[in-house]
Amino acid sequence: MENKTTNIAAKAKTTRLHSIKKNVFGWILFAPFALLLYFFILRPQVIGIIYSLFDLVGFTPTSFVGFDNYVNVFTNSDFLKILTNTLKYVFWSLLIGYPLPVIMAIMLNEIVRGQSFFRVSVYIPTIVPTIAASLIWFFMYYPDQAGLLNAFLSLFGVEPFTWLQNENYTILLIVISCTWKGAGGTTILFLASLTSINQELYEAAIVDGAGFLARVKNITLPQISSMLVLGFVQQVISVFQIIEQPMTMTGGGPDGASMSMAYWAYKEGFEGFRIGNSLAISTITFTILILMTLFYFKLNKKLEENV
Amino acid sequence: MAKYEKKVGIISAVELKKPKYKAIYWSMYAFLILCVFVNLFPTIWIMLSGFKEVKEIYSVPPTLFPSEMSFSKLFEVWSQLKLGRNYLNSLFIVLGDVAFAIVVNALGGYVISKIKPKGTQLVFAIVVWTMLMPSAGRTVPIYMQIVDFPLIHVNMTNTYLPMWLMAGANCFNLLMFKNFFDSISISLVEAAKIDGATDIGVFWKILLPLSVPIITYVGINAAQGAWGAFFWPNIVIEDQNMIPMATKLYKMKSEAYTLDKQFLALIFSIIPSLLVFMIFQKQIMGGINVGGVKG
Repeated sequence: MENKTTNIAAKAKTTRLHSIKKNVFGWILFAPFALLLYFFILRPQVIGIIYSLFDLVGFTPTSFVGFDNYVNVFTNSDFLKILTNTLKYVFWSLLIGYPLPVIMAIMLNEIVRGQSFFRVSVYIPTIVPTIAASLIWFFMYYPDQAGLLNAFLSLFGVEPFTWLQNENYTILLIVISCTWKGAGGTTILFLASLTSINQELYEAAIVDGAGFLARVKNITLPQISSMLVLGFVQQVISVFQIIEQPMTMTGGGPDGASMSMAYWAYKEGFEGFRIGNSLAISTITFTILILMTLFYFKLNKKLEENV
Repeated sequence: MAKYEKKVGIISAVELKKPKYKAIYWSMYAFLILCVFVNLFPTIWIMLSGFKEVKEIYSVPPTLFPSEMSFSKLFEVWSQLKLGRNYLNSLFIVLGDVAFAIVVNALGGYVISKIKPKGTQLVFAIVVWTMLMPSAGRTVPIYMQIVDFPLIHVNMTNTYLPMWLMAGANCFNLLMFKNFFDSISISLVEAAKIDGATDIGVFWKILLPLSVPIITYVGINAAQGAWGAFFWPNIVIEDQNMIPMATKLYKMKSEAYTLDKQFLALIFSIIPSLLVFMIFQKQIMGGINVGGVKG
């Protein structure tokens, strides 16, 4: 009897030891990720928000100034223009870049012959490095005879067009280049979820006499609705933070016509050395995006409740 | 011909015999052929124009093919621009990024999936939230840390460390690993242990071989991303001998090199990505399906 209790006690002791060992061992293995997450994502995010309330000399905060940096940004004559530009990027990318992958994926799923050829060809621009893609399009839009589009126009005797240098079209043209680079990858994602749609749904619709577009509207799109919503939100969030493309293609020009919020924050920080303003701009962007994300979660919950 | 029988999709095989659906079906081909043309032509045009002399680039009427295709021009431009140096620099960034992306995120994913120490749920929630968080606002504070890292006060400018470390802090990759490890049954591990395998033995003989697909997928993605990475190297690396290929392209644009040289440099920057894609095409296209379904 006595022997048994000591046995249980010993066993409990070993399990406890085992669980301590498991915890310590687990967190040691997790430590590298935790440290990097802290130093390169969480800490910078928080520091950025806190320092945006300070006056900074170089990178050192000197005195608390409340919302002074924000007032600077909001009263800057460029603020409204740049915010509008950023929304223009989002608008054009939703109009052009959002439906295209869905359409291409539906078509790729539909065709039989040469499917793998088309799938690979559609994907190819995705593997071109972002900066190379931007520069390829920069040269396509080159404002003189050297540009592909102007060379093409010259075949018909049309004078060279200014393309990116025209402030009315510059954002639209940048968005087209982004779509060229990004659509293929998204298409393949949509294709994967299209192939998992139950074929019987279509057969039933055919029996009911539904036409092609009716089937797309009533079966295809609802079946991939969660991906459609997620893709929409992700696109809004990523395009709202667009920076590399205007930076490499136009430098924000002509006359600030393609300047985005993220690029403005970058310029204020790294070229103007007005760190406080830069942080305030980023924090404003961050807040807008967080609100959008929360809105998405609410929307998503509603969608799930309805299903 | 059974191979080409239509089995899936909105239009059924029977309907394809009707003229209306035939028209829809073939107009899809027409649209896709147009897409393929738009997808491929810009890059092909850049490549062909790279072989032209500047005068020919400006010729009226424009030409598509260069008057002479001399491959010696490739070598000339390569050595004149010292692209070998930039290739090597990019390769360093790629290797470090891949190592960090795989080792750090795999360890993290393994802990959350299989070891599950106390507090796992909280950490997991933080990781998911962080992934959804917009990255706006981190750039300047991260740069402050690169110049003067907290606690240890090291200046990491003109090193590749910032890029490598940031590749390790990737919540998406961690979740990919976690999902993958979740799908490996614990009983497999226990069975091996009963057979007398040690922890290390289990890792090398069971987990590692099973994880090859996910390691390949994350590795290729990290490599492609690192090869094209432009933003951080442009900020962190000032030493001209250390700049990678992507930054070189940007510098060439602002330093007004002749167009043909810029064109060829662009092609040189695409070739490695294209080679990797051709070699790992199956894993890249297949791996995306895995990610699409799980993520």
